[in-house]
Amino acid sequence: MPENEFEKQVQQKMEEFRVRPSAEVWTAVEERIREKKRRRFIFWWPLLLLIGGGIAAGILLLNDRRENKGPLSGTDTDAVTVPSRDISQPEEKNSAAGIATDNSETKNTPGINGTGDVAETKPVSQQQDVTAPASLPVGTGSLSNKAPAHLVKSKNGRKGKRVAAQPTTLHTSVDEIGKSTSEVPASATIKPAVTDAEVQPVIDTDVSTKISTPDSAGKEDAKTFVAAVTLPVKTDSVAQPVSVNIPAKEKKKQAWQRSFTFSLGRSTVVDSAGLGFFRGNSVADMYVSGGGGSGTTPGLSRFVGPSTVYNSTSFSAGMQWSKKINRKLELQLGAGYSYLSSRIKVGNRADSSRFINNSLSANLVTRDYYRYDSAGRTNNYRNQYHFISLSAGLSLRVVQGKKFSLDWVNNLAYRRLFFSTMLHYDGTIPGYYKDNSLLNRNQFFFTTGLSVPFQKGFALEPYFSYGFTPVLKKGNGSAKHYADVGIRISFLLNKK
Amino acid sequence: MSDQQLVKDCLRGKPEAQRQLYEQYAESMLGVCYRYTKSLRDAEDVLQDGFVKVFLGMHQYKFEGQLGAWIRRIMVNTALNFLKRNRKYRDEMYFTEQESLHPVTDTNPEISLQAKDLANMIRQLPQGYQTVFNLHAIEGYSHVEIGELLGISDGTSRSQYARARALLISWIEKDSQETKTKKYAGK
Repeated sequence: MPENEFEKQVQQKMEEFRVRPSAEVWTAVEERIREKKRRRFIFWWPLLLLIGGGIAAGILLLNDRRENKGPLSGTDTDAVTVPSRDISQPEEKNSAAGIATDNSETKNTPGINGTGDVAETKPVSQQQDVTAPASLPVGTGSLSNKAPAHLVKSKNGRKGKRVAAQPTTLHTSVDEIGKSTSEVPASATIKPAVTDAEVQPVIDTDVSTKISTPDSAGKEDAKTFVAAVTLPVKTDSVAQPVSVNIPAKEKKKQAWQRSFTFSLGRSTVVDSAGLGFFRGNSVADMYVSGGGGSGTTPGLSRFVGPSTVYNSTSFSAGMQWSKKINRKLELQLGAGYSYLSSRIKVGNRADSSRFINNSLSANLVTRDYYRYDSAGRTNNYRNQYHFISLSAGLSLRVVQGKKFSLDWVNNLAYRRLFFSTMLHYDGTIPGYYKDNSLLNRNQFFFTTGLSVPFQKGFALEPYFSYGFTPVLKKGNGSAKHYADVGIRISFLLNKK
Repeated sequence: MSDQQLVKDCLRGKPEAQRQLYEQYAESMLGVCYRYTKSLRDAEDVLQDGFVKVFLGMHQYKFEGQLGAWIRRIMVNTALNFLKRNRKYRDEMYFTEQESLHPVTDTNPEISLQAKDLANMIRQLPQGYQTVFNLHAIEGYSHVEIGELLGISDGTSRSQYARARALLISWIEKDSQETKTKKYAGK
């Protein structure tokens, strides 16, 4: 600190000292602020897009699942339709469809009082296998021929079997229903496992019985409703064929495509705006303690460190699982190993222990340090970073041609740093030392790239990857982040 | 408008507030940058870089301490980065011992110079001296802090400062003598 009159005078004089800048300075400042803000936006929008895409994909997946479930679970309104028909259709039709009916028996169905009133409620709560609706324990062999044949199920009670050309999708477990209903008078209210989306079959009958429906858990909540199903008692009623269709495509969609991926590129650490990849980083931002670049090493006549950070080799290898969400979108999950590195210039490795005590590394005794020799000679040193990685992402087909397709691939990855040789600068050594406790081991990366799939079962993908978790837990100056550019190749393992 | 309000408006991205903040501090900050560099053009470059950092890093200002001091610290750091990035300055950043040329002195002469003349004198110092002198005598950094900032030992900083001071005093005294001579010659 200035301790005498001279310094005070200088300080005072310099406090008064002002110089008017030229007008261009402000113009340049204004322009650069705008430019940097724009760059920041450009840098982050793919991430926002990815999040948006993820939400959209989630919605699509959910819808997709509902569609798949629809005809199988009995939640689709359209799936439960029993057209009202003339009951005088020949029985052969049903036989041909493999459905056993016995109309004569229905005539004598006990318990139906002819008014359709419910004499007793006996829920059937375990009948959620969904192929045949609850209401329809009648007209099948499993019902001991005590019910009318108007409502039928598939012969084997399985999902997805087309039973007859006339689509009537009925939802319930045949066995259960048979069991339950065989013990219940036909006039009883039966509570099958159907949702509010189901539609009551309308059957031409003279006598009807109300059947109520509980939800699958047996709870009678607001969604549970009483499905008034008219149980036919007319002897000349004809069962309508039942059909449950499962699109074959749906099953195909669910297959995961496996591929082996390998990438090769260049990586380094950059500032938070992603700048400084190719030109090398400003040294000031990388050091941990001391060293601004305008001093000298004691015993040296010129400044040597800290070093500029240069990009270096990166590669990765792993497995990827991908699944089509729709015609354009594909979900990708991955797991693997990643290696990143950067290059700096350091002095010689010292052959002794050193006590490090700076603003970041407190009371550290290390043998891993490098100091400049008296001639200020430097050697190349590679900061290595080894990660295991888990990723999830979306691929969007942007060009779809007969010979050429192009996908835009974005993914987010969690990477765990399990080994590193990174060095940190300390002006008091002066030189570099190793302290891995300063590193953020849990890293999140965003990767964006364009993938060109080839017919022969592989795809090439130039990519850019950015770690949005800072490299160091804390540091002097602005935070530094990993960045990686390169080309990835994916070999499809179960190509279709 | 208070500094606090000015900062808030700048954070909201109001161009007029940014302009006002710039107008308020540009001249004094260019004075700071001027002392660290060898030309006005370089000083303006540093000022430009510094203000870009100020506006983009405004959210880091926690209203602890004066805004002017915070901006000044950014300008000084920007100037140091500029010196180390710029080959012209970096290559001249020698801290050789030049005892014979600049003997240390403890005198405290009165400075009758104008601020600008004094600033110009500081800029005439060798680059290493200039930087250490600015950091210690004017910004008030300790030699240990200067050592950390410049990657030199605090002892080197101390000796560099003593020699810079001696050289500057010799120039001031010389200038004072010349002024007196001119005055007498005029009479």
